[in-house]
Amino acid sequence: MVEEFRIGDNDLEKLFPFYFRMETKLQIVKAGKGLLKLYPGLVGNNFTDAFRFIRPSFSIKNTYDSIAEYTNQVIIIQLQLKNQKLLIRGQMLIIQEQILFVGSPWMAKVEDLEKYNLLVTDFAVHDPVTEMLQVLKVRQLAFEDVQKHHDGLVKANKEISDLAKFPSENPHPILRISFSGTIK
Amino acid sequence: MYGIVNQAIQGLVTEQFGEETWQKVKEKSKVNIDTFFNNESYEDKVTYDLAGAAADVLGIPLSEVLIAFGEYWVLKTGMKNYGSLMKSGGGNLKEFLINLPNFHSRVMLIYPNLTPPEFRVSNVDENSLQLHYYSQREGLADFVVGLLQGLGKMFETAITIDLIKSRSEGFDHEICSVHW
Repeated sequence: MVEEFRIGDNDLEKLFPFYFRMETKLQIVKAGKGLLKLYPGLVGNNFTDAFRFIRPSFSIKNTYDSIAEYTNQVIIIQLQLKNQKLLIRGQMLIIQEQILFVGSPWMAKVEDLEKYNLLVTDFAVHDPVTEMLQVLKVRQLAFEDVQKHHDGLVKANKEISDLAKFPSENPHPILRISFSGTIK
Repeated sequence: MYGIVNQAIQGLVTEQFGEETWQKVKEKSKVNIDTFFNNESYEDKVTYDLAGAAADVLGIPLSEVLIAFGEYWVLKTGMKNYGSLMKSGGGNLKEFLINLPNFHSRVMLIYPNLTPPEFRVSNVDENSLQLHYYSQREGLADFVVGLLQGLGKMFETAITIDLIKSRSEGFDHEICSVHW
């Protein structure tokens, strides 16, 4: 019977391909293969060279002590790639005086996968990213439908008000009379 | 800001003062948009103009409009559109406030064009905490006070809110001391 359950980097990487861990000076010691695909030279770099805090941003500082205060919060960091800024959402945890980050890239739309040269297989099996992208796509299409409908209504309303001006601008009055003689 | 914010101003004015008053507010604000889409983003100016016009038309200070708006935002807009999500934010006021920073970080992921405020809690005690509010937007501290009042009502908890630090005094963010 194992007294204490431990997990090594190999298994951690399978569960969290975008994980990394860093030491007290924020130098990156180890990173998952998904993250290394995006940023090959990451290990050995400092956290501050490769990432920027997005949330929290105002209150957090790039120090071990400051980050350690945020282990109960959603962390959004931005990977500083050459041409693109990729958001990664996750969580920080302190383990044996190192900061462990687990999380995965935030895909706001299906096209983002291609944009960042990522495949669904780069994500962990348990990661809900694929289902999330489907949901987002459905929402986007529904919104486009509503927008189209709305534009059509605005156009129709304008035509109605334009047409309605004819009688008022016409110097010759127009009357509609029913068969019984009442003016409509 | 997203359309849902402007929808809420419209809702507040219409429900409490009638459609005619809302039309006056809209006219006064010179905002020329008929329908605000919930998840489309609009210039911040639209929101500020509507709030300013509401204060003028109703003859009350802007701060009161913002406080009323904050309450309305939680009790009507939030509960109507995000009822289950709001309730899942915490079992009581304290839990909800502690979860507030995460709530806003998540909102940011869902609405990519949105710049939501950032919150942080500190000095958490059994009956009080300090809520730190960081935002790029100016002049919405009263809105935050209204939100807190709304949350107090949502959890049926009597609260007092003191704004103990603010940017208008030269501090870099606002701190509200919340007691319940």
